[in-house]
Amino acid sequence: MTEENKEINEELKEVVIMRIEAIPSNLRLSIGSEESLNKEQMIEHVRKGDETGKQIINSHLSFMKAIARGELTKALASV
Amino acid sequence: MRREILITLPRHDDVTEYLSQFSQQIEDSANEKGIKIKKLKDKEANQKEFEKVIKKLDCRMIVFNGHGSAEEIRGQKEIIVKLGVNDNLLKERIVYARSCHVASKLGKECTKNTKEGCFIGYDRPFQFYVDMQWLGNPLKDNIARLFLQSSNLIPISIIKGDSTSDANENSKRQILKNINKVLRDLNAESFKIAEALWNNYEGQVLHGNPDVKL
Repeated sequence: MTEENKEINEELKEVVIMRIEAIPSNLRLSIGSEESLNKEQMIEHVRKGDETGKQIINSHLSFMKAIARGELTKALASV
Repeated sequence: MRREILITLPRHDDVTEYLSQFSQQIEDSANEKGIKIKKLKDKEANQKEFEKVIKKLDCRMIVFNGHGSAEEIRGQKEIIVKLGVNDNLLKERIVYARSCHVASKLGKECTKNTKEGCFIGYDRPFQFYVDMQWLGNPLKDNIARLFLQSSNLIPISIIKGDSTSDANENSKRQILKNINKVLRDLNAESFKIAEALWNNYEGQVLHGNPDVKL
């Protein structure tokens, strides 16, 4: 991995963590094959970059891409 | 094959507790339509019991709740269906698996060259948020409802007589309506909830025959 890519990944992690920090503490996320996660656990997985952390980041990226490409707006306008 | 349903209802952690409690809507719908539904609850949701019941009752439709991966579906902690071991039991049936990743491999494989079989599931993690204040009473959790009611629409639409393709689309439309609702009532959690709903929308896939009915 180049230094630039590594830096981008770290930046991406920070963006995802900022989004997670914004949610109220009473919410837990069910993802993957374990019990639901509170926001501190979600942040820990993202920081570690483990399988669950990658899934959380991928979910964020897919949503951002859908917004940027207009796919989300188009889909929402269809209902 | 009998026009009956087999449903797994494991409850060994908060995730499976939610999935199983929200499955009551599926059971109610089957009862309304006079369709028999065989439940494998808690410890009964194991491989041995599943194999015994599906061979005996030969149900046309199976609904799985539980954790999963690309090659397996779990019941009460243990594996209930595994690719290359007993996935042949799913062939030519209508299957909905509310489990992570299962459609990416197992669902695809068990519907290869199928005539009457269809598998609806997720090719990525199935996600949902829960509100901790309702952990003891999941059915009152309106955040989880956004995710689990829209996924319930898959089996419920099939029970009501829709084709598997229509059932898949009904559920996806409801997910989009829920995203609209969440983004309209904009608050601190809206973005993350919409993101998780979108994950399920994109990840929900159908393999096999899209025109079959129960």
